[in-house]
Amino acid sequence: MNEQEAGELRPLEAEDDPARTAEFVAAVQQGHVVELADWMPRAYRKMVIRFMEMHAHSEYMGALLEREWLPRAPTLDAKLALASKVQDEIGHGQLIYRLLADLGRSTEDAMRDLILGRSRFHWFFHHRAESWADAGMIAWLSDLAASFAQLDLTFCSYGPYRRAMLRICAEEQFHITHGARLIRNLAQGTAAQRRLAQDALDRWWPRLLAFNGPPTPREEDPNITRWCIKHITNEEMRQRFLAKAVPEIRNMGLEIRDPRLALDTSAGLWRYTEPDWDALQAYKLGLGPHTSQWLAFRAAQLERNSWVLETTRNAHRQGGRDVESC
Amino acid sequence: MWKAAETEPAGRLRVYDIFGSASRKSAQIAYLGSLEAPNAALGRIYAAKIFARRAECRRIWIYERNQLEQASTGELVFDFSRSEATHE
Repeated sequence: MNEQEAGELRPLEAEDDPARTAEFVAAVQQGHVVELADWMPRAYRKMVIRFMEMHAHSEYMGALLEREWLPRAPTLDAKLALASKVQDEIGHGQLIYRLLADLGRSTEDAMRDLILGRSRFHWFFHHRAESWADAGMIAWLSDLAASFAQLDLTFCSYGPYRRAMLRICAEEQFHITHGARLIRNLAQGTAAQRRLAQDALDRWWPRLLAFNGPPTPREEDPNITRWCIKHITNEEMRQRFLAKAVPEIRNMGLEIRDPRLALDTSAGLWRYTEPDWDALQAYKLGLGPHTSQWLAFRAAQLERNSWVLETTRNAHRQGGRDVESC
Repeated sequence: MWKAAETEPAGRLRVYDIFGSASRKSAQIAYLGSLEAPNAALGRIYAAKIFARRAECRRIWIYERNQLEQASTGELVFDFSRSEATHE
């Protein structure tokens, strides 16, 4: 849907009227849910598009890490479970790309900018899953880390996005269970399997610690204070993740090798080795360990499969007649 | 308020809005989301794949978005009982 068609569904704002914007901000801060047909300030629309686009790209690209292990899954059940998860992730991307199209940001434009490196996806997925245990660790713990952000987004001020998050959150629960089961099987297996699980945790734990982002203070995050797109800070999400994940990991007999990791009971906060936030800046420039390979893979896929899109776009014509079966 | 679908130019995907039962146990119809498809037949397949793979819905309806029509508000002038307590 292009910008003009999107305009048929919502009034196109010309300039941001300060009084109207202030009224809008006051409304969302009081819990008003913004719908597609509502007037919204350009800054809000831009922020919602940027937020959702990063999310959609992350779902689309994140599926690649586990997709690599589909042919190498150890059992048929494991292969089916993993295939189901990968299909879910692509489906989540589809849901959000559709919402973006309704706001005038076409999927074609979003994909083009992703491949060209103009749009970003979550830095966590700029790596590879080096073992079967990695696939399990990603499904279990990265989806767990993401779940706190996603649950918060079910209260997002933008209505279509918050409703899509309900479905996404429900399906992510399957993924967490799938990943935890996979890791538990390894942790309770042979010595080699336990080593595989421990190696995967050692590799991914620093990344999981940084998953929810730097500890930006609440007052410095306009997505919280002004637009109510989110309501909890990155650090709050991280603390919730640690409170849930650390006991579960230890119950599986795995060790988290962070000498600073401990619960400060007086403060009620987990202490940990601070991630190197500066190092993550490289990912924004497309310089992650596997960024260029993943983007090249997606570009090649889009090119190779373009005939599918072309065929489906012309599928409404059969035998020279228009076919309408709605 | 549905009208006959207009013929789309060749090479365009159509937007379909998807409705379905809100949960496995509920008969309440809810808006599930939207998708793009070349025609309704493929739209139904996509809708099932996206919204009902785990039997979340017992029934699904798909409607092409351009069939949505504005409801008439001609008799609003006669609504003397309208107040903020009951109406927007």
